[in-house]
This record gives sequence, C-alpha cells and structure tokens, in this order.
Amino acid sequence: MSLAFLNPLFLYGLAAASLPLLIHLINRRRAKPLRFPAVQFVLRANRRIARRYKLRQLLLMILRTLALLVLAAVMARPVLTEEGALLSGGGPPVALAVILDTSMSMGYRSGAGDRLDHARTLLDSYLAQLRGEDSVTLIPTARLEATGTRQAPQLVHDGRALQTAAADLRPTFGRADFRGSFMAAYEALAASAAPRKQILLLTDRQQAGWAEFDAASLGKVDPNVLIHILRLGGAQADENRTVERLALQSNVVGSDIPTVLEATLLNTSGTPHRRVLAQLLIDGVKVDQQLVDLPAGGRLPVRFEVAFEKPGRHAGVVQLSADKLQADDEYHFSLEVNDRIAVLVVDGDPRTSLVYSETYFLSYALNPGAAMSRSLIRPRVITASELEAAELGRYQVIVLANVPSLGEEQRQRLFRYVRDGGSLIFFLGTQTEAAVYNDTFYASTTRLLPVPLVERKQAPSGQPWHISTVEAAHPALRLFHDSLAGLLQRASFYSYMQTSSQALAGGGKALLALDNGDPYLVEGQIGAGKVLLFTSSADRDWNDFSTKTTYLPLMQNLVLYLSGAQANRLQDSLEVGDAKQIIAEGRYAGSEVTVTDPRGMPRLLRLQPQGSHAEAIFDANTLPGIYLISGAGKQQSYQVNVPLEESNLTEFPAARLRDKFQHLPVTISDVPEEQPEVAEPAAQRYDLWPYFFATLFGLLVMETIVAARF
Amino acid sequence: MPPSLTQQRFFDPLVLAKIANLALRARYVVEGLLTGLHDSHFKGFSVEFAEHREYAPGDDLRHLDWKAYAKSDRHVIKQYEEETNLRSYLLLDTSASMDYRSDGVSKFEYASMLAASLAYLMLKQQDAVGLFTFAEDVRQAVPPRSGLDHLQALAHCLEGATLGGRTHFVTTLRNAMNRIRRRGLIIVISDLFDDPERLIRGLQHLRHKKNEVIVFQILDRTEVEFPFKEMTRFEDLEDELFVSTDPRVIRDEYLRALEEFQNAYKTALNAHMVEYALFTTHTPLDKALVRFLSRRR
Repeated sequence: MSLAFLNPLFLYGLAAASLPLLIHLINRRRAKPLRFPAVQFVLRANRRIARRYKLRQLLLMILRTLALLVLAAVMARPVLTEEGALLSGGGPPVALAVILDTSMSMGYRSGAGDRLDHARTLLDSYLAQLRGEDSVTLIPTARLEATGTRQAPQLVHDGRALQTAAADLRPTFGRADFRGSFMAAYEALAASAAPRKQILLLTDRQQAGWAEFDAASLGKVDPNVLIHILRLGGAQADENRTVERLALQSNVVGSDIPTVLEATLLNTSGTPHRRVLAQLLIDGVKVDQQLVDLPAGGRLPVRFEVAFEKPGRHAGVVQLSADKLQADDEYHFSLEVNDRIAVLVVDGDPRTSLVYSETYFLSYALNPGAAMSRSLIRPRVITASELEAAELGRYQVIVLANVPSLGEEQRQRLFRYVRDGGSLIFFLGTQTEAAVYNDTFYASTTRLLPVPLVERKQAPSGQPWHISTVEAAHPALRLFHDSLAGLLQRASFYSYMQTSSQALAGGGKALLALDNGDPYLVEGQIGAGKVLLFTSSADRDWNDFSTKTTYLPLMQNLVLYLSGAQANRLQDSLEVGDAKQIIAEGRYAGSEVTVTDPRGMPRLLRLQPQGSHAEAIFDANTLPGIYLISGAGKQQSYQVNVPLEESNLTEFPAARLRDKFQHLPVTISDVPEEQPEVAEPAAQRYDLWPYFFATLFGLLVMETIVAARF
Repeated sequence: MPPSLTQQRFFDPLVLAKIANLALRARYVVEGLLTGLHDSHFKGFSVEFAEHREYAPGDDLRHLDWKAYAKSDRHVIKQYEEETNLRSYLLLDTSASMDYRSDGVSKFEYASMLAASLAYLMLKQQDAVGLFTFAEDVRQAVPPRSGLDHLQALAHCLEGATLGGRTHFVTTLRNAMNRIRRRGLIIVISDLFDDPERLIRGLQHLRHKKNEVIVFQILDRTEVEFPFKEMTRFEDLEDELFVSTDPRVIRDEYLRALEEFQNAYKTALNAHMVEYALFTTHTPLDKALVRFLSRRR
C-alpha cells in the first residue's frame, strides 16, 4: 500500500501551514510601541493570563497549522493505493499497457453503444489522467487484425494518439488472443525504464479465450508488472442466441431435388426467447422461414426445405432475428449442387416382364422414385441392339448388364468413351462367357475389363458365398465403413465368375470380395476413365443382393463416384481467425490462386510444393461468410463462421481467472455498466480525502471552541 | 445646581487648555462656576457670626436661627464672618507618568488646571494657599499666602514645573510635612502610580498633625478604559519596563488589576478619613470643583 495524490499540485499548499506562525511573528514585529503610564497593570494582567494565553495561542497555532496542512491534503485528493493503482496521481512515472478486448462478444450492445464503446469511454478517462512522465500503449486482443500482421506495440506519452487509435477499433468477428496480447504487453513494458509498470485489460471476461489461457505459457515475465482486469458486462450470462450448427439431411444435393437443411439454434442465456424468426436465404433470396421459441439455455433443431433450381455453387445463410449481439445471428454455408447424372443401362437379358429383366432392380436402385423424378441419377435402359444408336457422350456412366457380346464397332466406341473419361460398369450373368469376354474385352485393342475372367463358379447347394471384405477407404464405399459393412454380408451369392488373381495384381483393384477370397467388385483404370466389374449378376439370377437394403446405396454411391458428383454433406465450417489450407495437385506448385473474401476483396497466394502436392495457407479469414478459391485448375468455396464459444456470454469466474495468473500480481474487478466513465479498478484504491475532510472539520470546530471559549 | 449647557464649555479641559495663562484659566473656571451657583451655598465656611438675613429656599437648615424664629416667628439665617486663617496646601505630582495624554490634555495639565482653580477658589475665600510639586521628593515649594495676588505665584510655579522621575510618596509627604508648620487642608493631586503602602505611610505623616487631607486621583481615559485594539508594545514612562501584548486579550485582567489597585487605595484612605476622588482628564473641571466644595461644607 502506498499513499498517492490525484491532484499533487495542491501539495504546494502545504507551505500555507507556515502562515499562522508567520502571522504570529509578523504581529510581534508589528507591535505598536506606546509609552504608557499604567504598564504595571498591563504587566500584572499579562502575567495573570500569560500561561493560559500562551497555551491558547499555542493550541490555536497548532490547530490552524494542522487545518491548513489537512486542507492542502484534501485538495490534493489523497488515495491509499495497493501497489499499482492505475495511474494514481503522484508517485513515480507509470508505464501502462492497455489490452483492449476486441473479440466478437465485445460487440454486445448495451445502452447507447456496445461493450467496446464502454471500454473506450473507460480508456479515455484513464488516458485523461496521464501525466507527461507516464507512458502508455494500446494492444487490441484480436488474433488477426483487418490490416494483417500486428505491429509491435510501443509506449507513447501522448494519450490522444491512443484515443484516436482506440476510436478506430471495432469489435472483430473472432476470438481474443489473450496470450499473444499479454506477451506483446510484457514486451512493450520491458522496453520502458519507468519504475511502475502495469497492464490493464478491458474485457467482458466471457468464456472464450480463457479456458486455454495459462500464464505459464507466457514464459518468463516481469513479476513486478501489475495486472488489472476490468470486466465490462451485465448479468452473469447476458442474453444471446446463435446458430450452433447446420446439417444436410439429404445424401446428395441435386438441382430441383428437395433438400432438407437442419439448423440447431442455441440459446446461451438463462431466459427463454419467444418468437424468434429463423430464415434461410440462398444466394441472397429468402427461401424458407420458421418462427420458434427457444428454451432457456437449450437447443432447438429447425428444419428448412429448399429445392435448388440450378446446379453449381450456392451460398446460403441462416439468419436469426437480431439480438444484442448481432455478429452471431448468422450462419453461413456453401453448397455444391450436382446436376442430374445420366446413366445408360444396357440390358443384355430383357424379358417381357420388367420384373424379370436383368436391369429391373438396378434401374430402381438408381432411381427409386422414378415417377417423381426425385433422384439425382437418371438411368435409361436400352437393349444391346439399341446401343448402336445411343449417343454415349451424353451419359456419365454406362452399364453393361449380362450383355453376351458387342460388335467391333460398338466396342471401339465404348473404348473411346472410357478412355476419354467415361465410366463403365460390367455386370456378368447367365449369358456371359468367360472366353468371349476375355477375347473381346480383355485380350484386344479395346481392352475394357480390368481383369481377365477364369470360369463360372457355382456354390454348393445351401452354401452360398457372402461378401466378407470391403475396401472401406474407397470413396464409394465409405458408407460401409463400420456398422453397415455387416449388412453387406446378408447378401447370398450362388454363382459368380472367377477372375484371374495374377492379373488382378497388375491391373485392377478388388473393392469387395467374397468369403472364399474371390473378388465380387473390381475397379480398373482405362485411360482417363474408370471401369467397375461385378463378377455376379445385377438381378437375382446368381445372387439375392438386389433384394437387400445395401444394394441401393451401393449402386448409387458407385454411380456418384464414377460421375464425379460432390460429397453428400456440408463441409466443415472454419472459425473466423482460422487458417485455410489450400491443397492442389503437385503440378500447380508455383502457380497462383486467388482467395476472394465475402466483401469481394481478392488476395493472391502462391502455391508452394509440399511433398507430392502443392499447398498455400490463407490466414486472413477475418469475416464470416463465403470465401472463393480460384486457380490451380478448379474453383471451390469454403465457409467461415464466428466462433461458437464467443456466443456464450457467461462470465468466466474471477477465482479461476486468478488461478490462471498463478504468482503474478493481478486484480480483478467489475465495472458498473451504467457509469463506465467513473469506473476505477475498485479493489486497489481507497480514497482518503473524506477522512481528511472529517479531520479538517474537527480541527475547525476545535479552533472555534478554543478561540471563543478558552 | 449644575451648570447649564452653555456654561459647560467653560469647564471642558480641552477648551481651557487653549487659554495660555493658567491663572486666567483658574479664574475663568471658578468665576464661571460661582456664577452658576447660589451664593448662599458657599458663604459661611468660617465660624464667626456676622448678621442675620431672610431665609431663602435652598439655604441649609443647619444655619436657621431657631431662637430668632421663636422670638420673631420669622425664618432667618445666621451668617458668619469668613475665617481668614485657613491654610491649604496643594501637593501636585510631577512624575513622568503625569506627562501622559491619549488625546486632549495630559494628566499634568489637567492636574495643574485643577490645582490653580482650587487655589483661586480658596484664595477668593481669603484662605492661604501653598503649593508643593513632587516626584521622588519635593521639587518646588510655594509657601502659603492669602490674597488673590498669590495666584500668580502659584501659577508661575505650576507652569514652570518639569516632569520626570518616579513618584515616591513616603519621602515626598514626609519632607512636605516638615515644611508645613500649621495644620490645614492638604490636597494631593496625583495619578497615584506608586505603591499604595507607601502612599498610606506618607499620608500618615500628614494626618499626624491632624491635617485634613483630600486626594484627587487623575487618570487618562485610556488608563481607565484600556480601549486598545492592536498588538502593542507598552513602555513605561518611569521605569525601563515594557511588554508586548494583545490588549484585547488582557483587557479584562487589566481592568481587574486596576480595580484592585483603586480598591486598595480607597480602603486605606477611608480608614484614614481621607477624602478620595477619581477624575479622568476628560472630566469637566466644575465637577471636580463641586466635589471639593461639597466636601468643604
């Protein structure tokens, strides 16, 4: 504790304490000489009162002297300060590093402005106390400033420059980087020779940023630097709501296909929110809305249905009716909408009844709601003879189901189609001969089979084979990664065409295999195209797979895979402040990509070689919204949203915060929201002037009594 | 009967001070006083019967001749021949303290006027009047004579008096007594700033010869009222004494000390049958004379 004065100039008034003595001495010197006959009586009178008179005079002089001393002290506003009371008047010079929390939560509106405005008001009042010998610096907590890299903070003596700098600050959309800010503050203070060094943190002290903070991570810091943490905030948990997450309820998103998006709304406060309007906007156009009641401290799923008119990239946003913290009332997402996938299915064994046709189950698996046109995949079934007239280039995938053979010309067309990037699926069956297929589709210039066929295998009666091996890492088979893999085993295979195991080692890759080890599904690469070979039939001739539940997703996923259609889920959102890793093929190393932020501001990045691929890091994700990456042969987008943790305005407990600073001297206090401009770090300053004033009053009363009655 | 307002100016010490000649001042005062008084009040101090006259209102009933009233049924007053052999001695203090004046006249000037006036009054009554001036001791002495011409001698002595030194009553009164051959009336005019004990012892010498003694104490108004307001260094006129003090603070104690001093005199003088009266230098002289005259009756 130390004594300091807020108006130290008044201490010069202490000199006034000598006035009573001076007046006394001057009066003695100025005593008018008078020749007087009755001096004996004067002497006698003087002798009688001398003792009492001198005592009274002495008392009066002491009282008046003390009164003047105390008056000067009152005017100087004495305060008893714990070490480091903020810019307290008097005392040696102070070097002050002000850390201003500019995280998203500081945009919470309260009264006339937001929390950052309140912090600025408070800051102004401190800067106004700045003396010429004090120095100060301002450090915003945002991890990333809009201007890019943060400059090393420097102490200045001119508070007005800092006021201007603070006036330009706005709440960011990201978290506060307390560790970085404290390190910067210690670094700035280390350069100062001031005998008193302090750090003042103006923050709302909400949850985000503190959980991971640990003073030990600051390294070795000056333990004499005093830390004041002032909380600007209202209740323990201010009212707020946000969109916690967004999920796509459809497997694949295609144009004109109804798609369901489910947003989870979160109420972070302890009071329910009534009639909250939640809207879905796609490309800036409102497409759906819901009016919901959010329970206190709870979550609520809200489903939106939308049908995208056009394929391609779409930017969407879920918007909530505005609350006091508006930055988190929006959730942005980007979605790639697929075009219809045209599949040409060549039925090698058509029958008069569709049910008995080779491709009956397959075509329904590819387009379950055929009449409603709700499927992304549009199969067209033709006979082998019709293939000649078909324009192959219109189809992303061609399926040959139990086709005995094809003429040379058709094989040539098919080969070119595949070589140039088309996809082909073989289903074998009762009409396919191993020798014919080997001759025409393998050992020829128009090689389309990934592996040669060996012979047909027939299972012993009552002992069918089952799928036992799944290449779950394959993009088309991720669905069967764990629990669904067991479902595949339910299909029974009575007959299949054995393939050559030697050839398999060189050409194709078995994606599914039966329990005897022979492949059921083999993938091969022909030129730029892909070929899939099912070693059993597409219908129920050789197996009952087509009647099992796993048949449909397997067929759909394989076609989506072959057609290059996008994944069936929303990509994960980045948080504001996170870096985006841009990966491209190795051949693009050295070339540039452009990242365009939600405001349309482009930024060029050069791809650097990184092993077998090229990579660039974009670290200026400062705004929520959709970012576009163009270059390296493709265009893609990603979404950035505000950190969910910033939406939780619950106060971080002071006791836990104090623990985080361990042995460092720290004071933690709250600022009344109604009067931020008069707030002081409460715990460490005690005004003494009221006591001095009471003392002065007492002295004056005593002086009056002594002067009048004594 | 008191003097009228128009007459008052005759007795104002300040007005009188403008008259240069002390003898003239004395006449001025006494004549003025006597003009305003009824003659009958002051005729008949002596003891020899002269004649009768008709009683007039205001005459002292002690002098009514009851026998004549019994014989003639008329009120007549006995009138006496004035005595001519009464000797009066004026003892006037000329110590340094008598030289003090706050405004107007000094204590000595006032005492001189009073002494001259008394002398004139007594000479006018055919008494013989002598004068002593004193301080530590008797300084000047004018032997008692009668006749108005003697006033000039007295006035001359008073006007030529020099002031200084301390008052010492024992020595003064003892030495004065050695020079007074016949008993008579002794009038001491002084500020009495001496030890009361010494005054009493001195007066005992006077009373020893059965002299009648009157003491007039003359003080300045500021000595009586102590009206000073500022820090003052009081320096004594007779000794090397001085004191710096705040008069407002000590005033009460000063007045108390003065009162004790006065009371000590009064008590002692009363015990010795000595008439005492206090005049400030602002007291009109007629009051002092009336006081004397009433005493003489």
